[in-house]
Amino acid sequence: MPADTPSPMNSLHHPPVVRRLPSGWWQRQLSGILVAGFTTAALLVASPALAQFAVSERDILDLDLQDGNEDTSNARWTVNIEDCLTLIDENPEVTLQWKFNTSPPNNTKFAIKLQPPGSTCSFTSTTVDADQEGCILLSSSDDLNGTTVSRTIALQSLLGISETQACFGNDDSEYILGIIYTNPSDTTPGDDANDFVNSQISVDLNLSRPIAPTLDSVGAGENSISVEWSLPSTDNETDDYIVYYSESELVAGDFPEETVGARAQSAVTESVTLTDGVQVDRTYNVAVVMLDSDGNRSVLSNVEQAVTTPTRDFYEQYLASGGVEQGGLCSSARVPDGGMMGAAAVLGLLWTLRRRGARS
Amino acid sequence: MMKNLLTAGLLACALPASLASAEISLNTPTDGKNAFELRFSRFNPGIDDEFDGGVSPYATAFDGRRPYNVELEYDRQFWDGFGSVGAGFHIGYNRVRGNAVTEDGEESPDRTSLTVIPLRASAVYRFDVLHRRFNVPLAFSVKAGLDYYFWAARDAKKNVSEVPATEGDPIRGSGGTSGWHAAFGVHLLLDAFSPGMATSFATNVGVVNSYLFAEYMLSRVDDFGSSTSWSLSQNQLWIGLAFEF
Repeated sequence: MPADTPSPMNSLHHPPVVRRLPSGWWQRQLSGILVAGFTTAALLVASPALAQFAVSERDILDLDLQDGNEDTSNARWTVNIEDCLTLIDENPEVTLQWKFNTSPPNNTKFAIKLQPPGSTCSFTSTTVDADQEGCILLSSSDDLNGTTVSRTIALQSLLGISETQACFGNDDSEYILGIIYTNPSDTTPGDDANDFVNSQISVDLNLSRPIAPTLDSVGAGENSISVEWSLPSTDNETDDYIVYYSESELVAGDFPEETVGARAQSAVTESVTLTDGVQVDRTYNVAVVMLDSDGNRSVLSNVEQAVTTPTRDFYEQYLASGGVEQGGLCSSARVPDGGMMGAAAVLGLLWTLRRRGARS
Repeated sequence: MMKNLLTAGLLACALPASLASAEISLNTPTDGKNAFELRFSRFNPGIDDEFDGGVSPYATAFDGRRPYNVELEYDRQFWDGFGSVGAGFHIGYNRVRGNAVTEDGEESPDRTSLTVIPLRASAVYRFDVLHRRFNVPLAFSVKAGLDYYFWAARDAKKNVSEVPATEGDPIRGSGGTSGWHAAFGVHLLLDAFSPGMATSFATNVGVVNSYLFAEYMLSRVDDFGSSTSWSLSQNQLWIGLAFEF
């Protein structure tokens, strides 16, 4: 049987259809895949070097000294007086951290510098020149390895604070920490201003106190003390106050951080009534301080004394005035006949109406 | 075609007619066996009346304050004829706060308060004939009944006041005082102003009539003239909303 003659078997079962592809088809597909793959790979490899490599996060870890004084959008942290005292007591270490959005290109240099107040740092070079007085080079390397750069440092040494008295020094200054690294988009590496870029973190040391209010008046009851005060200026940052009261001595101008044993009550208006722990026949010293937006307290205002004395609440005053009502749910008093008759009439009316309603 | 036109014409005529009949039914009084009232007034009891103007401990402590007080009333109608007759039950809440005084009579920063929870039972006659027969959106009510007021006076620590007695236990500043009241009210039927809303309110909520009302109430709450009771009596103008369902 000729090879091209369909066999009886083939006439019953369709033979498999084999379609021949045009010559060179596989080669073209394969070459297309290879070109696309190489292009993608080249882009992926090249991308860090194409200005996509940049700091994506700046952070000071563990600097949790006071709520509300961290401004993450600007990488700015504030250390107030209370934080400063904590530094002295605990000397916490903090971790400075910069995160990059992608792995650094090869041979990316970097340096971390601290610019204390009054000094000058260049944040466009990884070295400290002689004319940059006070600028501190904390770290540097010719090979930035990985996407995160972290350095741990004692905050006391960072801020140059070593004793409690420094926290009461009215200091108001800014420390800048910056990472300087090779500019990935600089097409002409060399000794020019575009060789490096930087990312900064600011630490504001705010140890200045707001102005103290003037305590205008105190009034005492049996279990409460009313306090009113005012401010020399109406141009206040906040309307937050703390009133201190104590049977112990309070001294005008003292630092509130050193006022031990006094009760404290917050206020958001220029008056408050103190009740917590206030007892009759006692003498209390009262003073008030103002808080600024960083949580720093002014010194104590002038101190006034409040002497709690017995008072009469409404019912005591009523009885003292000769009132006859003795309380209780049931009156045992003589009820005039007229009143009783009236009550009986109303009850009778209600009963009659109810019966009529039931009949209808 | 003609058949369709005829159907459309009939529908066009019938629809306004049905709407008109709905309009008529809105203005037709519908009986509500129950009523609920939410009412507001000012609280100013006559506690100082027993002192004949010599001293005024209430005015001294509360400095003429007349706080708003709120009351809820539920009415059940038993008879429906020329008007309706029923029984009503009220519960309210009042609290007035002020300052204690020193023994010299000076105002103290210590706070003090008087809380009163009035309970009332009323016989209610509601004259709604004008509304039912003449479509005038007005009704009148007369109420009379018995009152019982729970009250408590508190000191700066918000405890019930206690005053040392010459003998025995201290006198506690809380108790109850009974009395009576009578009231006359004018009710304006709100359904007349928004029939569509009234229909919706009736269909969806079951409220068949809604009223805005003013009521003048005379209350004498002094344990029926007892010589050992203070007076929580007052004359009050109440404003409120009433719903019949």
